Amino acid sequence: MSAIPFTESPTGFDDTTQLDRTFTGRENELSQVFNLFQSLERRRILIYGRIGIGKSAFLLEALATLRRNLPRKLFTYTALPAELDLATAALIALAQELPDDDWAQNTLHQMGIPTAKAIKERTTEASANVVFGAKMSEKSAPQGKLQYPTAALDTLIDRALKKYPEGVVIAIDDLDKQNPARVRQLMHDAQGILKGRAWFMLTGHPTGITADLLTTERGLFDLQIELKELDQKTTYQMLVNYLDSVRIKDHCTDPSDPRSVLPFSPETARHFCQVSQGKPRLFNRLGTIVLNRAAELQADKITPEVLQAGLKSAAPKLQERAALNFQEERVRSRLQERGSLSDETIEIEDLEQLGVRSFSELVPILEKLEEADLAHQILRSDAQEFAAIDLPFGEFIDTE
Amino acid sequence: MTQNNLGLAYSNRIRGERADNLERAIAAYEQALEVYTREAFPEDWAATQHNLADAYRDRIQGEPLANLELAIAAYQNAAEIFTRDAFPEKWARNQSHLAQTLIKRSGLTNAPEDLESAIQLLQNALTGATPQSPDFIATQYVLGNALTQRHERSKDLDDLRAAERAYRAALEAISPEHYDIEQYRNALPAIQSVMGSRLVRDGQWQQGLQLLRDSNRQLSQSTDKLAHANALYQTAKAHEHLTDWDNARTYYRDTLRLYKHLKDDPGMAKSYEGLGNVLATQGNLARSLVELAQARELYAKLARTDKVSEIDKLYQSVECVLAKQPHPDLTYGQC
Repeated sequence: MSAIPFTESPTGFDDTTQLDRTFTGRENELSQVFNLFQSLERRRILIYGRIGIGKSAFLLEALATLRRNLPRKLFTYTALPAELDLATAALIALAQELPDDDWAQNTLHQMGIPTAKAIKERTTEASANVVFGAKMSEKSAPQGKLQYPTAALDTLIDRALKKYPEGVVIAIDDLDKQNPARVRQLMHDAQGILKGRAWFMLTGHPTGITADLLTTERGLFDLQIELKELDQKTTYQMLVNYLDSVRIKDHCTDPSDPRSVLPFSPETARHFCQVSQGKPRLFNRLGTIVLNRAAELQADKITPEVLQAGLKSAAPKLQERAALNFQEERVRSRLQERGSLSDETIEIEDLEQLGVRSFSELVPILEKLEEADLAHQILRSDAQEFAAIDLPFGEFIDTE
Repeated sequence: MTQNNLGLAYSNRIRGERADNLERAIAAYEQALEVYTREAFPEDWAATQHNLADAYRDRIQGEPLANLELAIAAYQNAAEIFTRDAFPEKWARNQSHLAQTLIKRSGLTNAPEDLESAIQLLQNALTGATPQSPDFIATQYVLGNALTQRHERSKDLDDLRAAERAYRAALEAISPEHYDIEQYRNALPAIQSVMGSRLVRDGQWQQGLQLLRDSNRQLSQSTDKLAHANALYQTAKAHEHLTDWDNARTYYRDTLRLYKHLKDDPGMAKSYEGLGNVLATQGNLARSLVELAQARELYAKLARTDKVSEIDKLYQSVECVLAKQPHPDLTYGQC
C-alpha cells in the first residue's frame, strides 16, 4: 500500500478520482436520483441520514456521475459555510462555475472573492473544474455582503440557463452543520429560491431541520432519499475498494479473493466491518486508527491480535480527538455506563447527577458525542434515544 | 399602639404555627381598634385597619372568601384616611395590598372584574410610590403577576409586554441582597418563556425561540423548578406549533418529569395532554392513548370538566384511527 486509504470525509471534487474508486453501494439510491434527471423539468432533491452516514460522498458521487453523463447541464456544489445565507452560498458556487461570465465574475469581485481566473493563476489545485466540488474555502469567503443576494442569484441563474439550457443544478451540502434555528431561518428565507428555476440538491440530518422539512414541506421536494447504514457485504466491498485505491500493484477488487483485503485477513476484515456498523465515517476513522496502530506495532498483517490492539486504542483516540469538557465527559461516561439514554426513560435523579434538569439540555452534548463517533442516535419515532458506540474490548469473535 | 405592634409581631412571627400567629394578630388588631377610634386617632386607626386587612388576606383559618371580603373592607376603611393627597406613600401601599387581595379573590372566584380592578389599582399605586422603594418594587412585581394572569384569559400580547416591563422595573430597582431576589429574577425569564411561545404562534418564531432558549437557560440555573417546568412547557408548545414534533415530544417529557417531581397535578395533566397529542400526530397511537388517559384522570381529579370532555373527544378520535389499523391482539371501542 502506498498510503493509508481512509479519509475523514470527502473533501470535494478535487478528490473525485479517489471517490470514484472508493464509493461503494447505494445503487438503488443513485438510480432514483439518475431517474429523476431523465426529466427536463427542474426538481428538488433532499438527501438525508444521520451524521457520518456518507451524505456528502453520495452527493459528490451522484454529481460526478451526472456531470460526466449530462454535459449540457451545469452542476455546482457547495458546502454551506457558516454565516452565509443559502442564496449567497448558491450564488458564489454558481458564479465560480461561470468563469467566462463577466457579470458573475464582477459579482464575485464585489464580494471580495478571488475570481476563478485569479484562483487559477494563483493555485496549483485549480483545474478546469476550479471550485466545482470544493468545499467553500477561505478564499471563497465573501468580504463584502450583497444587498439582494436572492435577486442576484436569480439573475445569475438566468445567465447560466442561457449557456446551459438543459438546466442548472445547485447542490448544497452540510446544511445541518449549522445551528438548527439558523437553518430554519435559512430555509424559510430560501423558499422562493428553492421553488425557482434551478435544480436543488440538499443534504440534511433526519432529526434536525430535515425532520421539519419532511413534515412541513412535503411538497417542496420531489425526491427524498434516506441513507442508512451499509450492510456487511457492502461494507466489506467498501474495504476492498478503499484498500485497492492505494495499491501500487497487485490490484484486486474481488471480495472472494483473500488478497483483496490485504493487509487484513478475510477474518479480520469481516470483524473490522462488523465493528464499523456500516457507518462510512466510523469505518474511515477506525480504519486510520487500526492501520496506524499496526504501523506502530511494525505489523505487516492485520492479525486478530493487531486488530484488537487497534480497536482497543480507538475509544481513547476518539475521546482525545473529541476534546470533551468536564460536562461532556460526564455525559459520555454515563452513556457508556447505561448503554443508552433516552428522553423517555431518563430519571430526574440521573439528570440532576449530570448537572441538568431536562433531557433537552443533554441533547447538544449527545449530538457532539455522535459527531465524535462516541455515541449514535437510535432512530425512533416515539423517543429521542442515544446509545454508546460499543467498541469491543472483549474477546475476538468471528461472525462469518 | 402596643396592641397594634403586638399584632404586627404576630403577623411577621417566624416561630410557631403561622395560622395561630395570624389569629393572635387579628385579635390584637381588633383590640387596638377599640382604642384607636377613627375620630380620636385617625392615622393609627387607618394603620391598624391596614394591618388587620393584611392579616385577613393571609389568614389560614376560616372561609377563604370570607377572609378576603373582610380584608377588602378593612383596606377600604384605611383608604378613607390614607388618601393620595394626605399620605401618598401609605396610600400607595394600601392600594397595592388591596390589589393583591383582589387578585387572590379572582383566583378563587375566577372573576375577571377583580383582576381588572387590581391592575388599575396597582398602576395607580405606582404613581404614588417612591421610585425604587420596597413598595415600588413589590408593586411592580405584583403588577407583572396580575398582567400575566390577565394574559391567560385575554391572550393579549400587550399584557405580556406590560408584564415584562413591570418585572424589569422591579429588577432594576431591587437590591442584590434582597431576601427574595431569586423570585424576582425568575419572573422575567418566566414571562419571557410565555412571550416566546406566543411569538412563535404568531409567526415570529425566530425571536420566540430565542426568548425560549434564553429563559430556559436562565431558569435551569435557578432553584425555582416550577418556573423552569413552566418555561419548558411553553417551549414544548412552541415546537408543537412549529410542527417540530420530535423536539415538542422531548420538551413535553422534560416538562412532565419536572412537574411529576414537583407533584404538580395541573402541570402533569397538561404535559400528558401535550405528549398524547404529539404522539398521536406522529402516528404512535397506542402510546398516545396511554398519555391521554393519564391526562384525563388528572383533569377529572382537578374537576376540570371542560378538559375532561376535550380529552374524551380526542381519545375517541385516536381510538377510531387505531381501530382501523390491523392489530389482531387488541380490540377497541366502537367509533
